[in-house]
Amino acid sequence: MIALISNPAALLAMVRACGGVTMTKTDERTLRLAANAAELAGRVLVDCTIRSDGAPSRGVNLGWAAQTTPSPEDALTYKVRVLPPLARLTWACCLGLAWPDRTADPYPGSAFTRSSVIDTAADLGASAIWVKSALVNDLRPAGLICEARESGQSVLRLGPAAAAMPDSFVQAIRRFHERLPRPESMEP
Amino acid sequence: MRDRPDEGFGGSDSVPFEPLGGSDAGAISDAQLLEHVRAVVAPVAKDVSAVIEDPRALQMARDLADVFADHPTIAGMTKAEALQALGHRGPVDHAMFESRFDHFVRMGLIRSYLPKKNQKRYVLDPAGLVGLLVFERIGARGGVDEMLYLLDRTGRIVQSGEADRATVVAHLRRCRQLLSVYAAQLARMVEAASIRELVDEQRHHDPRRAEAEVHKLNQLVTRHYPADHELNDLAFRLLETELHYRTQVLAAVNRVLDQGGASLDFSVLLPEQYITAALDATFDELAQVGERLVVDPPMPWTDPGSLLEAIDEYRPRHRVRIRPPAPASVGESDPIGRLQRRHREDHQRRRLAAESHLQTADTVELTGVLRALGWPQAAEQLTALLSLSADPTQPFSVELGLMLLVDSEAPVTYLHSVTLRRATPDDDGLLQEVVAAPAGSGDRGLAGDR
Repeated sequence: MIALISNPAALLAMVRACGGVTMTKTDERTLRLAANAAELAGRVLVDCTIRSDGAPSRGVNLGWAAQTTPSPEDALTYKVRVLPPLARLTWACCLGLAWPDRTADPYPGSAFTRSSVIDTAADLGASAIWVKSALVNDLRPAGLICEARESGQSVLRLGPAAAAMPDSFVQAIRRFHERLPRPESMEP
Repeated sequence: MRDRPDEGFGGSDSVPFEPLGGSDAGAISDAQLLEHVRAVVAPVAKDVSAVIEDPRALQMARDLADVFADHPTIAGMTKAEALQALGHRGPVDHAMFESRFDHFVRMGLIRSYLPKKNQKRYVLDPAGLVGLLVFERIGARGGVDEMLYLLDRTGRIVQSGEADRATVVAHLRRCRQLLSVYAAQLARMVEAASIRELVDEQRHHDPRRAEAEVHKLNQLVTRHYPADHELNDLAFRLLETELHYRTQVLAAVNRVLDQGGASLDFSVLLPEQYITAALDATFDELAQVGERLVVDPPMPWTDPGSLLEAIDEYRPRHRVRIRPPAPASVGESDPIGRLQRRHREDHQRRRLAAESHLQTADTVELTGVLRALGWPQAAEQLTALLSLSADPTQPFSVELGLMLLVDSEAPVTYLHSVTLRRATPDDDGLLQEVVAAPAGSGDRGLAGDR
């Protein structure tokens, strides 16, 4: 039997290192203490769905509190890892497919297929092989998307990192929601 | 972890000396260096603005000193040559060059080659170059090297006996004062300075070397002046001060390790020290470092601005192909059509020419006309008439007389008589020549011989 994580610091460290932890690995008390500790550091624990081997389970990921969300892209005080342009376009396609209704929350969003992402990006002139590479090598390791199995079919869904997207980001993307790439049949 | 072996000072005869720019260990910015230099020159400064504040001016001094020192000839350089040599090293701020060059000439860092008026060649004063090196060293290491050098030099003059007692006393007092001042500064920084300032400061100090030098000096004084209580007392007080100094250095190190280690600040140690640890430390020691570390992958920062940039960068494809505009007057668009058009135009021109010759008549004698045209126009006109005559669709025929007209002086030396006739269509629609006698000649017509 696997021992539950009872140390809040260890739980937070695991959330950071793994990009999300299922609730089955800890107890409610540890989770509450970890949430308090995160809050003191300007972070929040957000609910998300963790899919290990395709099976969904409730989990948590570390996000930013509304007042403490940094903006390194503006301040340039430290370097952050930024996805290459094509991976960003692929991420925009995923968002556009998973988030058809701008009034709704982007997470958990709708399921979408890999082929729909490739087709949407191809309409914008992106090569299929590069889009596939971005899905596998950039977006999935970053936790922005994850694979799921629904109705016997393999589909994609937004990942735990999308659940931890700062609220200010969501509001900003809402303002250009209609510009997110999506097929004509899904145009609002 | 331990420092690299080559980080310690050399033997007692060598003076530790940083090259220009310093090494990476303990390297500081030019702004910090100027701050140290300001304290160094304070005893001889006229006012607070004695030391420049713009680090670019310091860099200009370094570059100019390098340029003069590297110049191969002994006759110095002109100002223009110095500017040109600086230009080879990189972009030059001309205003800065002008102001600093004139300032260095006035201050004597750069001197005229000959002490004459209007001298255009300049050389570098060695004292200025040495001063620059000293400032680099003192500014970068805070003068700790000078303290160690003074300890070493005091020991040597005691050992050699070349100095009188008063000089030894002065040296011992100065050594103690220096150690005391550095101890006080370290104590202040341990209490109040930031961890980063403390890290930079404690890197300059070498308590083991200071301890060895002070103990050696104490033994030398005891040995050479066994009966001089004042000197022995000074040497003993030097030992006490060194102990206090060493305590403060260790306190600084402890605070750096405690605070830096607790915060997992990896910049507390130099990269070289990490390399040394990786090479020399045991597995257990290295395992202790990673015992409390959590390493998470650097998650990409997906801010909305970068998302929008990517969307803007990729535009939707044009599904309807638009033919590109035709290039203006490049090549022949329809060469066959153009040939046919030219053929029709030539034919029309010949027909009109024939009509022009005939006017309203049915026949006309053209021998004189052709002669008058000269060469080669006569041949061209005759060819055009024969071509027209050979065309069955045209109502013209040409008759050539049998008689050869020869005139060696005329432009056309050989010519048969030429008669143009108009033909009319018969009942079957075929053209029927109008038979008429050639005007004024007995030549036989060529109708039917075509």
